[in-house]
Amino acid sequence: MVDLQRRSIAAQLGSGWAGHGVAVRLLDLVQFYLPCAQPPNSIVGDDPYTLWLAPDRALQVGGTASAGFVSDMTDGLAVFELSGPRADEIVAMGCTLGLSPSACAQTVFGGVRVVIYRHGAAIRVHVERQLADFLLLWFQTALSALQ
Amino acid sequence: MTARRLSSGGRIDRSKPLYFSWQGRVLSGFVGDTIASALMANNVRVLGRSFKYHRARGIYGAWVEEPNAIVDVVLGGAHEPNGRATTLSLYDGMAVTGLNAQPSVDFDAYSAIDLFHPLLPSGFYYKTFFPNWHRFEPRIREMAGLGTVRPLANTEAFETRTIACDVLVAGGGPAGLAAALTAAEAGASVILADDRFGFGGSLLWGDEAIDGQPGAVWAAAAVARLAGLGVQLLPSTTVFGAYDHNTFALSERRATAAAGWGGERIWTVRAREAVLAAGAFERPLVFPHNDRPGVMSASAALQYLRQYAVLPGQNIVVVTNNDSAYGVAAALQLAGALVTLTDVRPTAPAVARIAEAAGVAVHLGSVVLNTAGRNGVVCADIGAADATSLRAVQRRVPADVVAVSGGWSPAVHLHSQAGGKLRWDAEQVAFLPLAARPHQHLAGSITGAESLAACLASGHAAGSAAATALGLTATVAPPHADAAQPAAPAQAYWRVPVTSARQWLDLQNDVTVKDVALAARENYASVEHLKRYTTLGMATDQGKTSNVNGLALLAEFTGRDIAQVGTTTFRPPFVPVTLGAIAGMKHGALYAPWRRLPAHSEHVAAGADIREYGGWWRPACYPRAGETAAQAIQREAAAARQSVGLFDGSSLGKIVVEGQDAAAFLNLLFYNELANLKPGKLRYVLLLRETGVVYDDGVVARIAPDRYLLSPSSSHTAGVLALLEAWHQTEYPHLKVAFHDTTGAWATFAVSGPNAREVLAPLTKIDLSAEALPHMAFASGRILGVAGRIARVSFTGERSYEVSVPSGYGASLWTALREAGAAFGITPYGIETLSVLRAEKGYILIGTDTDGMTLPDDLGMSGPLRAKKVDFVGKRSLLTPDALRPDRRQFVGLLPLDPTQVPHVGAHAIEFRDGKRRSRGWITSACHSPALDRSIALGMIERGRELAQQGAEVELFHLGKIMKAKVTSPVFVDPAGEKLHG
Repeated sequence: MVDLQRRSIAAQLGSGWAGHGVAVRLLDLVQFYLPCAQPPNSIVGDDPYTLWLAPDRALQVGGTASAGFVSDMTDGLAVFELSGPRADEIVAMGCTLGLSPSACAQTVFGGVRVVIYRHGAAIRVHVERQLADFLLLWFQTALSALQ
Repeated sequence: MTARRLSSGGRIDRSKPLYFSWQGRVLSGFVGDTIASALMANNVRVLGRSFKYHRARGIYGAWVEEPNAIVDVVLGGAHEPNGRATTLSLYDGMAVTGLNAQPSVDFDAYSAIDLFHPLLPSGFYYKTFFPNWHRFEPRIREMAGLGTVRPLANTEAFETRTIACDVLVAGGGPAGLAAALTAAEAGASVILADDRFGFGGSLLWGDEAIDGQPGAVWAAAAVARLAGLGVQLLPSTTVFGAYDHNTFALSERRATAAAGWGGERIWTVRAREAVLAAGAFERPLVFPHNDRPGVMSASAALQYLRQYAVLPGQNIVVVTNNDSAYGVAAALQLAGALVTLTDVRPTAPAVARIAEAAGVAVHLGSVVLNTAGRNGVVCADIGAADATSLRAVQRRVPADVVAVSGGWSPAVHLHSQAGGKLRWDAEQVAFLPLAARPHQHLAGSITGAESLAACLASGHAAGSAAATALGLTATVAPPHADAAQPAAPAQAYWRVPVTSARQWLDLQNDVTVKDVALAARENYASVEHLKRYTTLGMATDQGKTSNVNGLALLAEFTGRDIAQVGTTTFRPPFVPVTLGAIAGMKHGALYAPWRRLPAHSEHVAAGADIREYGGWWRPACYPRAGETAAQAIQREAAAARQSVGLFDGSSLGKIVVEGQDAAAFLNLLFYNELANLKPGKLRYVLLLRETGVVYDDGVVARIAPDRYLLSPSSSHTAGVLALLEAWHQTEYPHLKVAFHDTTGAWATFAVSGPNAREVLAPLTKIDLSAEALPHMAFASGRILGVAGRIARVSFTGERSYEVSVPSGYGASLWTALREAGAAFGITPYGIETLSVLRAEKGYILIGTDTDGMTLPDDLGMSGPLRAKKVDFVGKRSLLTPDALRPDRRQFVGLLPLDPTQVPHVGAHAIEFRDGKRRSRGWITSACHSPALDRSIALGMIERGRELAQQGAEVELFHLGKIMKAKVTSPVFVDPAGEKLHG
């Protein structure tokens, strides 16, 4: 029998959508949960970087797994990236937080739990894979509100 | 009535006429009109009927305070069943209709009710129709009430936004503009919201100048400056709610929105500082028969004149107890009306000169004693302010408008909603804030400021205070307005002291002075009781014009001060808000989040009947062409028993727990012993709440000495993770343990049935033999080249393997398993089929067979309570007398005596005790069992295990019908577990 084939969530759902002044992309990024010793809500490093999630939990984006309590979440979390001059309007529609330039937050976006933060000029939103279809529909709907 | 449009003036665009219909008649207006101003310009007097007496009602106000002009509006596909005509912009093609009348507001058959008004005082409904309200309600509802909602009329979505700012300024009148300018110039990020179409508030219809410019010109310049400073300007936006931590809710009404989107948009604003500058409402001055069309707020009359160039009448009587109406009288006279002014105060204020110079006839110490006219005022009787009889008429004057001003009530709503207290200021005859709430600043009328100069000064002070609180420094000087002539104090005047005629307080709900007097006589002394008994202030205008007058009269009738009576509680929303706008995007497919399985498209392709289960879209079953769901379930269940079935269990939770104290921590949390679980083994466990009630069940795998994998129920995963975190962070922070919810990272498929091993073996080198991988064990290894896990665990009672791979490979594995099983007729089965298979085996479904009262022993699982050495969550509750009662409901099987009849889930097992029917428990699951080819059921029955041992029968009652069933063990299939372990 032939080996199993991987289908990323981005490959499954498509990769790009655009509205007035906002573009949304789905990324296929390597991700791990790992133990955490960094300050609350901090983002540490550039590539890879780690996001504080909870007192004992961080999310590493990119790189390779280290030793210790590590769970591969590459297939577990979908990553949406918002860019464009009106991306913050989409955030204001989905989320009660204003985004600081250098912090991440685990919060509710469009009714689902996400990890959200600024990444350069863009905004990244990590969501459980099973909710990616829902959040994608939410983004597509929200984009249609911009005029 | 001769209301008419003037040939010049106003903020309307005469080059852009609009055509709309009123009660089917085509009328015209202009861009810039509201529905009310256009109707007034067309001399339409009757816009509606009152709630109770069906009396004719005309336009009273000019903005949100309007109690009367509530209309049905259709524009294109949109329908507004209760539009406030005074606030809705006029659009071309609008169809506007009056409400609460049959057949129309002009000729309302129900108006005959008014003849019986002496029989219909407040409390009439309670006294007359209870306890048989249900017999009368349909007819009364038909006669009363407002617009009719058309289901599905509006399919628009609504957008909501949440933002934070340094300073939110609520109200863009002179005080709000001054505050916003001061804060923004100091460097604060400012949001300025005003519910009108443009900023400026009273400057738009007043005569006064600021910094040497006409008020409206200054306002326009201020707005331009604010825009330049980056202030977020939100016109047509009402700050309708103040909540904790300076969170405010705003409703923005945009003229246009993207296709499919509604114009209304809700903003949630979190402001570090807030300036409340919402202005004031003019109160009515109450006199007999003051509800006729043509009786309107004096300030509103001025607004119609200045904003819309509509002169509301030709013969206008102005009734007042304060200075503000004099300027109105002068303006109306100068615009071409013949104006008579009556002031209840005996001496002429300084402003009287302005009115008299314009030609207004001023009568001091006077009031309107009565009005006459069938569908609107035609004349007014003027008499002494202290007259006690309607006959004490000094002069009768023709009047098509009676413009009233009973003083001003500052809009304290936001302050009060935020928890602010009020005081009664007898000098200003108004409720004013006792003190601003933390991080809130008051500006304008709410501070008691009456003159423009005072409003501007308070606005500047509020903006400065907000800036200072933010650590900024205000740099701009306050705007300057010439000090007004000293105002003469208003005189508290709450009604004409006659009792022989009705004097209206609440025009929409038909509450009169007599009703308040009656309530007081019946000892409804609290203003909250008065409100509910009389419905004063409970209409859609929320008593903006009636509340203060009502409570002042309650004070009079109960011999108390107004301060002692106090106000009712102010609650959001300040104005009606569209429910859909509050729901925002949470409707339709986005109503609640849904989760999809990694192989969702494969299930759809396989013909799955996809339904929602605990937030997951999952296959219920896979009906073939011509097959019903019920038939598919029976076929799939039989296939799993006879050969092999394939089930997508990817939604099962997968929480990894790791740490040197993982075993100790889980042992504290779970009902079952977990410290002695050997690595590589699984155990079925219950998780309890502190109350001992079963919260969830699931399987725990020990991957390594310090690492466990929990599999909570699909819909409980987030809850279990939260519980783990809560116990760890609050009670056991000293234990070294951490949690990763990896549910989304894995796809899991159950291959279940006698041929399961044969299907799976070619896909992996993992030894699947009963010796190497017995029931409740697991192994890691490669599955078609991908690192995964195989767990020998069964929810069907058959030999079962749960195969897990990273979810990116899920769809591929599903396809591979179907191909590998093709020779065995592998049959995909859904969750409804699984529910039959597990019921045959007597396995519980949490939330189906259990509820908020179920303890472990009720399910027959008492071992851990007896044997487990360490304490665990819920243990103490399992030792209470109630938990140990012998007559608790217990989980049993039931076999209907008629094997073709499936009992209804929820049917009660009943018995008669003392001649009364009582419940002994109920059915929790029931189905036709394909394995037994008969009906089976599971249930929670009092002393159920005892009854099962006796083989007792019970009577199941459902909708009047009785079915007999024998109580048995819940395990119907393979009680020895030979298939499971084979």
